[in-house]
Amino acid sequence: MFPGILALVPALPFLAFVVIGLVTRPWRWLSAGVAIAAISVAFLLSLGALSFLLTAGAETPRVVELTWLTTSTLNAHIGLRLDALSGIMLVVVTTVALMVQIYSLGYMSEEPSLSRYYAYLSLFCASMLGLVLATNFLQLYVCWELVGVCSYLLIGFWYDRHAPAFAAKKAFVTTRFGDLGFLIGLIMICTAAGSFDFVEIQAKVAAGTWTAGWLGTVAVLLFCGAAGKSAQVPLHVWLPDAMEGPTPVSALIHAATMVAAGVYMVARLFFLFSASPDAMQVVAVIGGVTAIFAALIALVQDDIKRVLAYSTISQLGYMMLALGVGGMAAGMFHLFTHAFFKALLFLGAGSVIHATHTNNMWEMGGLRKKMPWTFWTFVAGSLALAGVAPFAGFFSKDAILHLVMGKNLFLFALAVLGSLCTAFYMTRVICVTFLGEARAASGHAHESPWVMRVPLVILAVLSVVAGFWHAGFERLVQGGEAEAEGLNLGFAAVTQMVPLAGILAGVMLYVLKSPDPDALAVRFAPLYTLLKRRFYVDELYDWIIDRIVLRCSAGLAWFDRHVVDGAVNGVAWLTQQTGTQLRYVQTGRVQHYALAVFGGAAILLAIAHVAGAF
Amino acid sequence: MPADIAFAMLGVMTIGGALVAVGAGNLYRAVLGLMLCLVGMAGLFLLQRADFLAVAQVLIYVGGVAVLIVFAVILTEREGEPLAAAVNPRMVPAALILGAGLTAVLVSVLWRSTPAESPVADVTARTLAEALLNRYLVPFEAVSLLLLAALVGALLIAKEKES
Amino acid sequence: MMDVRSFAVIATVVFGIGVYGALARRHAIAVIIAIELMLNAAVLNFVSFSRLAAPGSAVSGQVFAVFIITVAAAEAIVALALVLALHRALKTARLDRFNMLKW
Repeated sequence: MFPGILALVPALPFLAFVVIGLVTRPWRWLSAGVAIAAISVAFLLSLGALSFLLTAGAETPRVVELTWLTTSTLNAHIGLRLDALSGIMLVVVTTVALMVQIYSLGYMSEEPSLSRYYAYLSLFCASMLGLVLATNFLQLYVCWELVGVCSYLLIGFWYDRHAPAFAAKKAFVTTRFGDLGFLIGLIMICTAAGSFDFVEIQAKVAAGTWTAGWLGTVAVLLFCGAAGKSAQVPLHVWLPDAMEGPTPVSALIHAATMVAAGVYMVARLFFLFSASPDAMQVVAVIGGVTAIFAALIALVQDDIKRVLAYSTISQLGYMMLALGVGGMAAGMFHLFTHAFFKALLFLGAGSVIHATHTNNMWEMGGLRKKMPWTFWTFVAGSLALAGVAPFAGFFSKDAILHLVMGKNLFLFALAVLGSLCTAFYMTRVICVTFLGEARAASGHAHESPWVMRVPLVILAVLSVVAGFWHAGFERLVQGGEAEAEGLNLGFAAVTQMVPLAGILAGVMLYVLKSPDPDALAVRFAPLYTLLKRRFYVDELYDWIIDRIVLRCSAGLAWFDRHVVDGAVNGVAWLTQQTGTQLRYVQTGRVQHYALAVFGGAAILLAIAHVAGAF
Repeated sequence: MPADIAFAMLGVMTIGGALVAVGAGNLYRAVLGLMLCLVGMAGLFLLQRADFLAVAQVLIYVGGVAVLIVFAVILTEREGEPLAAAVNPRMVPAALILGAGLTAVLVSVLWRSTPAESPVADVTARTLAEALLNRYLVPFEAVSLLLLAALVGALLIAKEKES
Repeated sequence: MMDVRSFAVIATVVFGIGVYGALARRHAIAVIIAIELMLNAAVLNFVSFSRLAAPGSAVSGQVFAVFIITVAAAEAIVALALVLALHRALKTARLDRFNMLKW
């Protein structure tokens, strides 16, 4: 039965996309129902697949493939690959997608083009699930770009407003930079291997077909794609802007699933990355730097969604860091837990925004009483994110820190510092948003409807309990051979101090006001401004684009307009002139035409005669 | 050999008639040349024992088509448009070269071919009729349809527009 | 002298004369006369060459000839009708006055 039946998992959401687009578009709620029904079945199938893996074991991937196209040099397949990685990702994606789609019923209830929204969401789910189940590079790449397109469509969902349209474009173009590297790497490896297939390429890598240096180049190029998709420094700039999209979309795409695709890709191609220590080093350093870099920026953001966005970047950095130091299971486990609690946080933030109609935290405040469900689930998510025991984030982050400490003390220091920042900024968000006294936008706030609360509660439960699956998860991913590393209690006790310190600092600043945060901002004005302006990365990019790219483009545009277009227009002009001249051959006299006919016949006859045909 | 003499006379008559048909300035004279040529052809058919064809040729062409052409000439005759300007001088050289050239190529092809033993086949009106009404029945009927269509079409084209 | 070749030569000559007439003559009816000449040359060829066919199938050539005569008659009718229509519309039957078949 498995994995063939899993074809339904991406197929059903795709079908929902088609049906919504072609049939149910005029009926918003029917469209929503179709999308939710499709993802529900996909969710159940994914659960079935995971439980199948847990009972039957996941040592060897189970693959079914269909031939897509055949050429003399390459055979492209399209298929389904069920192993530990894809099984877990299936559950993550479908769970979050289901929660988000149910939640959207409430959050987007006043949206007139709800059908379009659910159509895009379904298309996204289909592409993402196709990506997860990919058996080869080609399928991976196609789905990779498809999720990028869906991300573009959903960020720019309110395309009639300037900011979302711009953000969508920015996201698309920025990830395209990474994808260029991805594509080059893909072409290199697939040409060298003569195949797109993961299994075949893995066998060749294992057989030592290529040198570590060459593999490292390929791996780093492929990592460019992952860095773009997972918003790693320096390609992180699109993710904060992507918050212009609807909040449930941010939860699904820009927190739990699509941005994790980069991590998933590295994990999927771990055989390739781990063959080159240098590439692993690059992954680890980029991940570590991203983790602390984004966490620092998150400290001073005012927009609740942007805090979460930078937090997402930071956590993705942790995952990359884990992968880079060889902890594939740890990285994937963090992806697993992060998906739940970050989706929860985004949905909670969405609930708050839904109630207050603003993104600015400083206009909220005192929402704890008015929105108790949202508050408590948000706190659960925050504790999980901060890594407080026994919430889910604790287990995954602890595993990462433990791994990194054994490999690289500098990166370990960065990671610990990032962890401190994480706890601090989440405390800040909670204090400013939910505690204290009500500010301008909180006056008329009220708790969200139950369709929004139910997903929050479910995700909150998952955020609390998901961590306890730690050992089982590791066994599943490591394939049973490597023994699962147990929880190191002494180490955990020490690292546990870090988030607690962060929370304490947050409470001191934002509840007790000693020291007063505003005073601190003034005192450390240069640092504060640097963070507030997000290390000037966007400004730097703008400068580069304005000064260098656009000037080169102007030159190229001139070349295009005058030389390339000139050539094209010249050919057209030549054709036209030839035609104008030649049309005088058409005299309009029937006897001239007859002359041509007879003359042609005579010439042909004469040629045949001379050539001796008869 | 009386047959050879007949052949020579008929050949001269045919070619001469054709020359008159394309050379005469007066269209009536040209039609007469055409008739002469067609009768010569009918004689050539007779020499090859194609009796039915010879008769049909005389009846249809000489009797029908030629008369029709005469009617057309009468209908299109206009004053102030002298039929004397029968040929277009600018086309004459090209037409001469082409006509002569085609004839020359074809004749030289014929000349090179080896003369074959060619008995005169004995095709009577009876065998022709049997062929037409058995083996070639469908084309035969199709041709009758074509004739009908041509008739109706010609009427439609030539009719005065009512207005 | 009575072999197929002699007949074919006569047919060829008549055909060539027809080509000349069709190209050089000004009057539409004269062109039709020339076309009739060409068609008749073809008929003569069919009749002559049918003698070279296997005994028993010589009739095919004559059947062809019958068809050509018939179709030629139909063609003549239509062509003459066209000439009449042309004459009515343009007040001339001279082909060199008629140059509308162009761009």
